[in-house]
Amino acid sequence: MNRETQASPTRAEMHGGAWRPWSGERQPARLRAAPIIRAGLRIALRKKLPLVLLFLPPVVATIIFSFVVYTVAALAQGMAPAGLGGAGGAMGQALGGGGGAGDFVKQLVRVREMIVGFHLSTDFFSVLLMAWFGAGLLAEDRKSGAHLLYFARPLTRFDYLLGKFCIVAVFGVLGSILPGLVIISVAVAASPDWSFLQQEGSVAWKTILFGGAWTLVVSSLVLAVSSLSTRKSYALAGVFAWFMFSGATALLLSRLLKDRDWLALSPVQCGVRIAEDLFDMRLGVRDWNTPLAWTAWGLLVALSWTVIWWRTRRLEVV
Amino acid sequence: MGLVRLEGVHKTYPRGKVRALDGLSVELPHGPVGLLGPNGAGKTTLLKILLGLLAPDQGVVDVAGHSPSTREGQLRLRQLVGYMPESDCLIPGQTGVETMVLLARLSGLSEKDALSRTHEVLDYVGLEEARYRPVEGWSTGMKQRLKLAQALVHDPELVLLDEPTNGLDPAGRRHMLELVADLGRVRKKSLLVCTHLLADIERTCDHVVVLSKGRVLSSAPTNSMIGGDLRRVRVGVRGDARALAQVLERRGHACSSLDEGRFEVQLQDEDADVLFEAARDAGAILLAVEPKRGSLEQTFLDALAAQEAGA
Repeated sequence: MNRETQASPTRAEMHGGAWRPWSGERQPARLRAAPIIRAGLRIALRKKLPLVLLFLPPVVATIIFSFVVYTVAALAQGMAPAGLGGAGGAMGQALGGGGGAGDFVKQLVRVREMIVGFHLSTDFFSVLLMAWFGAGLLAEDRKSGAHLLYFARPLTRFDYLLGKFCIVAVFGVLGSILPGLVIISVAVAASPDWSFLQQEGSVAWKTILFGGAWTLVVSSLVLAVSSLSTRKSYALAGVFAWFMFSGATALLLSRLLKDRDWLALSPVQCGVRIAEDLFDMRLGVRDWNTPLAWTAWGLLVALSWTVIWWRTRRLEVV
Repeated sequence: MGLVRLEGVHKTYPRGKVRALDGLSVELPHGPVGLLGPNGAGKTTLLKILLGLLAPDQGVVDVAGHSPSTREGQLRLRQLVGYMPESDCLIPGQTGVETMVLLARLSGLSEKDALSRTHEVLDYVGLEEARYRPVEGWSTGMKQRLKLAQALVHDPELVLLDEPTNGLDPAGRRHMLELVADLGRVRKKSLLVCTHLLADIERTCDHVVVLSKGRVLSSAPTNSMIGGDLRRVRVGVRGDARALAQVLERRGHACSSLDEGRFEVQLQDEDADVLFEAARDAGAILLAVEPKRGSLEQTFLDALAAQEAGA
């Protein structure tokens, strides 16, 4: 909208500030949540100590797993890295290298197993990341009255929640998907003739799918608890209480009733089963059905968003 | 034609079946307008409708040519309206500049415009030195001015101010009223000032709307509401005030509140010459003749009383 412009700013006599009418055009961004995402990430990245403490374990794990995967992949082509004594050396033998061409596929499978193992071992840290940076997003807005400022703008509840969700999801991606992709890249680079990509290329999209689903589940849960809380600390406690309580309940019921399907009550147990099935592996004796695990995750997401939607209705109040 | 036009607007909240607005019709002119009303009068509902947060059940709402009856219209409306909430509100973890830039971006300003407007408006409200400090550490007065600044950052056609002086100390209150008066009367911004402090409205608004039970009790220029009755004057006298009062009463003008050379006269018309003639005849000298000024409070209470009597 073109509006009348004033040639020069006028001076407010009483307070010394200049009032200058604005002559530009108001055109909300195509993705109206984008400013919220940027602002939220800027605030999160400003807190250095939590960033270092929370990102350190995934980073260290990524480095260690990358090294191990590199070693195994290198062994698969019969070229152990220098310092490991070659494929026939002590380290090479310990890692199962030094075999003939028939072991090549086995080595690639071992790399895949390591990637899945990495996912499962770093799930806890990704939960920590998402919970720490997401627990206050709705709770603190409610406490500080920020919703009054947001909803007085051309912003829908969907835009607002999308913005908040993306902030949490970024940390889920950084803690879950990105490290997995880094390790896969190392495996691809270290394997002879891109053989890992050719033989086990599906691991990449499966990593994205599994990490994405895990991020969706945890982000939704974190935001739902945040929407029910009045403070970040309460929301943080609520998220961990949920994981601990659901895990303990699932384990107890499955033992008492001798039915492993009860493990579906725990999002973490569901994640283990889904990962095993998705990556076509059997890490344990978890023989309960996978569709039930997906359903449990789906229900948790649906329940979380129902709570969020219901709770944020109250935010749209002047 | 006014900036805001409401015609036969009804709004009932389903829960409790509270009728918040009951056929409200009013046209708000450009410039600063005060909104008065007791609790439950429908002020907040009116603000929500003007902000596009609520759609009326019935009736016509027009704000600068836009209506909140559709979702698209509501969003468009929020681009045209700035809102300063009554209660405390800030975006945690942000500095003044970051808060303003974020809200400006959400209002549709480009990154560059948002930043330049932020600095201009923060300068205008006197927050230029605190702009890079986290807002959590700001004083109440500074937070209140930030709330005003964010309502102005996109230079909206209409600014809704809900209790702008709420919680401020005398100096902060004075500063805020100066800003509001400057915006409305000098910069000619259209403001709707919702407050229970009638003195604030007298000081900042050119037009007053009184609401009660979801209806408009009165809508008139502030001057006409507080102007009082020009036939009722206060008189200061040197000499025999009692004799002057007797002369005036003999001529049909009622006098009251006689004390220490001052009294009030109810003239039969607005011609004050009769006072001077009577003073000459009574041998007194008039020191002061001033129309008795009404107060917005009295007008407000009278309007409410009249409504109660009508009900």
